Amino acid sequence: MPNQEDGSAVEQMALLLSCYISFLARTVVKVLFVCVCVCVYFIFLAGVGCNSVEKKIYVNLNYTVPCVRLLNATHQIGCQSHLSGNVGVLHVLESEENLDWVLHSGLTPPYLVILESSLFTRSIMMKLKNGSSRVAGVAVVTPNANPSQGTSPHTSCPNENTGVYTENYDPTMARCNVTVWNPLGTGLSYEEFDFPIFAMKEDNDTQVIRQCYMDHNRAGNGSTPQYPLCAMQLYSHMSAVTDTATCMRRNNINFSLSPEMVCDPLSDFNVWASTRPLNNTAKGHKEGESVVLAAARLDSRSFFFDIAPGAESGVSGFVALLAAAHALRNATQEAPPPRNILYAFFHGETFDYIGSSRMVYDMEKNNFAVDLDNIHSVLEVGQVGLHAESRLWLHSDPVSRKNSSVNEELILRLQSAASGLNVSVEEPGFSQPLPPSSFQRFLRARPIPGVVIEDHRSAFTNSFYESMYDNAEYLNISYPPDLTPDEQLEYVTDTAKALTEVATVVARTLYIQAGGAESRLGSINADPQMVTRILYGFLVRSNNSWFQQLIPSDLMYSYLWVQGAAPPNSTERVGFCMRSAARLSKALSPAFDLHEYTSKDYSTWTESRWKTIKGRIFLVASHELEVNFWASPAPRRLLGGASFCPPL
Amino acid sequence: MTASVFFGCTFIAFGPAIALFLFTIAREPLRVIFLIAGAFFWLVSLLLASLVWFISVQISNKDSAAQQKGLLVFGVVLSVLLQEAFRFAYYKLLKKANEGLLTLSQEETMPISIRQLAYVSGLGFGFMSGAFSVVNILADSVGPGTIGIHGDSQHYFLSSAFMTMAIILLHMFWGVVFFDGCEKQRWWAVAAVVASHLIVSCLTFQNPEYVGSLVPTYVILFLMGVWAFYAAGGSLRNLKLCLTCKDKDFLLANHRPR
Repeated sequence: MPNQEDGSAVEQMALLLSCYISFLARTVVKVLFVCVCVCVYFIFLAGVGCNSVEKKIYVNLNYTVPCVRLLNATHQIGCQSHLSGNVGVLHVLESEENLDWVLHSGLTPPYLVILESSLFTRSIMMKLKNGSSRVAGVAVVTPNANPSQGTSPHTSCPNENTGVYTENYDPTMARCNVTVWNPLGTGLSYEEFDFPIFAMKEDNDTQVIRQCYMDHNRAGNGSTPQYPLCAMQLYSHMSAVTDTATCMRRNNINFSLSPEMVCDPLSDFNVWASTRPLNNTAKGHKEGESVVLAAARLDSRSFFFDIAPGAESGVSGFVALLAAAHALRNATQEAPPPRNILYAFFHGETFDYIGSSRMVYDMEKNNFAVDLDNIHSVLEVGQVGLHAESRLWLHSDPVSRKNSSVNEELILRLQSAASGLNVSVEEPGFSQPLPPSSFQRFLRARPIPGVVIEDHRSAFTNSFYESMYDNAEYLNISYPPDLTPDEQLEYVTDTAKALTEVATVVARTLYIQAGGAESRLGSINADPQMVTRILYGFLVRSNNSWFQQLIPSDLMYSYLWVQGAAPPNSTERVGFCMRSAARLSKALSPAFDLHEYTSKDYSTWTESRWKTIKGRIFLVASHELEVNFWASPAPRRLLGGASFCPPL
Repeated sequence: MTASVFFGCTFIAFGPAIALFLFTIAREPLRVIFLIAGAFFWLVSLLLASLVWFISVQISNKDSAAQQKGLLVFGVVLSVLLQEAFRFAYYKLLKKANEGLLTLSQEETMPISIRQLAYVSGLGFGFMSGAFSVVNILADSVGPGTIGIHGDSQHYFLSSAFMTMAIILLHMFWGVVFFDGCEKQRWWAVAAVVASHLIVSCLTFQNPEYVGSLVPTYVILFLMGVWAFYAAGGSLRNLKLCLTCKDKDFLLANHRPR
């Protein structure tokens, strides 16, 4: 009975379907088609808005800055989160004792701790790191003003393994045995955390977070807070693990069609220029070229990603050197000194001297315009923004100094250059190694004489070294109220005046060191207007009218320096700058942009790639000596001779 | 708010409907077809209503809150009326199809009665209506957060699920009563169905006062259930026989020994 019923049911189903199809075709489908078309059109017109239920549940945070993972040969540092984000119940930490709630007594782990910047210290962070099964993440609220007490997340001995002071060079000076350069350094930037750490500004979002915590999570009078509790989710999953060798190996896996990169090497560009032009295509040693290298550092870092103001640690140095180069523009044109001056601004110095080590490597491998033998001496401008009582300190390497008199000359020249100015230059007065500086990498290669100008006698005076608080406020760059941005750009601050003095000292020293005449020294002066504009552009607002004048634009024209022709009585070509309205436009068949590879309207020509193309000649042996494993069907008998292969 | 809320609300909303489907409809392919066709008809009615709603929102003044609220009420009323209109259209279609099927088939009796069609089509309407009510909400309930950071009530997910369950069952009862009213030409029954549908939909404007919307809805559900039971030919007598497993027709149809 079940079979019959099923069979007839199937028949009925088929009959019914045929009935339905005829009815549907007549009425509903036509109506539906029109409706669908119109609806789809309107939906595309209006766009799809955010789901309103999601808006009731989640509040997205607008300004969040994560801490990211960095790897080197042996370690990974920084923070990591789960692939789907870390969720934790909010807890606003009031004091270090309150950590007990997060780490031990709280009933609803894991917690996401909100810290004020004053509590973002090494001891609290280490305790959170050790209790990380109960900690889902940390959010640091950065204040609008700098804290009063100095703190630096960098290590206390920066770049200790990649400078010149190794056990081989001088064991008494290795590892900051003589001077701890960054005594306020906590080393937080170089710790590894397995929860995300974000920085937030003191704005509306932070108020919402605090209000949410007060309303839902606050335990009143010893009672435990009841669900639902306020929680936060932070996403900052990092793809790379373990160390650089592992992640570079994983970068090179070619299994899938679109291989995914998991890490990138830290890299950028050094900027260099010389007062007398150098032929950059002829690499290696240049005969007769003696160069004074004027060096400064471009970069800095902080605990969080992409926040690196570096006002005192980086900007003060390179601004002084830029102003010095500007001050020398006339003297080097009108009375060029015998030696060339090479200005070099190195990038990546924070991370074990990326830029300077690369330049030294290029010089050693004859891949740079000059050679290490071409360098006469080095003058590096370090941290010079905070010089209290207008004193600058000249640091030199005690080991290489023993064998060189050039160093003494350089120091004397510096002191004479500073005479008559508001700045006094002195040596530290005791045998001290060089502070962390790009010059150390040059010393590793050759014992070149050189001096590093800093504003600290031994340990750094910078109490926010490589920190997010090392900003314009720390350098006391302040403007009177009610100035427009353009007026602020032109206003000469006291910091700018002080840096101008430093730049003048550097410029005059470079001129005499390059062999220029002492009589011209009085005319070499740095321009405070230039210094204040550069400081404004790099520390306050980079989108200002002066920077905009300097950036290239190719709206209407392109510019080329062409070689030009030689005038009739000379063999030297006279070059000139040519402004051209001629442009290039792409000549790729539209078929490839449209992905119409069988197009009849456009050209579809392509050319194959090949691996090697070559030819060669040789002798071949007779067939008799070939050993045939396969029975050949075609008759391959040799003419008239006995063959080894039996004919088939 | 994690998987537990998601699964809990899904089963609350669709549990009874899925149980009904599995036990009474899934074995009969004909009933499945009519259920799906019913769902499709509800979908078309929603399409038309949303078209009108969309156009009217575009031409309205988006800044005026009162106008938007008025537009919402208008949209709800229009949608209810369109759903009932399509229910009537489906009824007409089924009558025609049944006559055609009868002439084509070799048996004397119809393979499916109009009462079964009413039940199945009502459930189809209910499934689709429930899906559209609650699927978006269920999708958001899977994430780690729950409603409340802006001060909304905690019980949003749960009350949405209970409301959806009520709506699905209500559609089923409405289907039965509606088709019965159309068969017997009792137009007041049809009007009552439309009126109760309007009342239930407009009760949702009470939200977030969930008590105010859910309790009357369940009262109406119970009353409609009783009405549908009697409209489908039920009575206290055969209820007793069914529950004590003594109903011969029922037993024969399902091949169960006494």
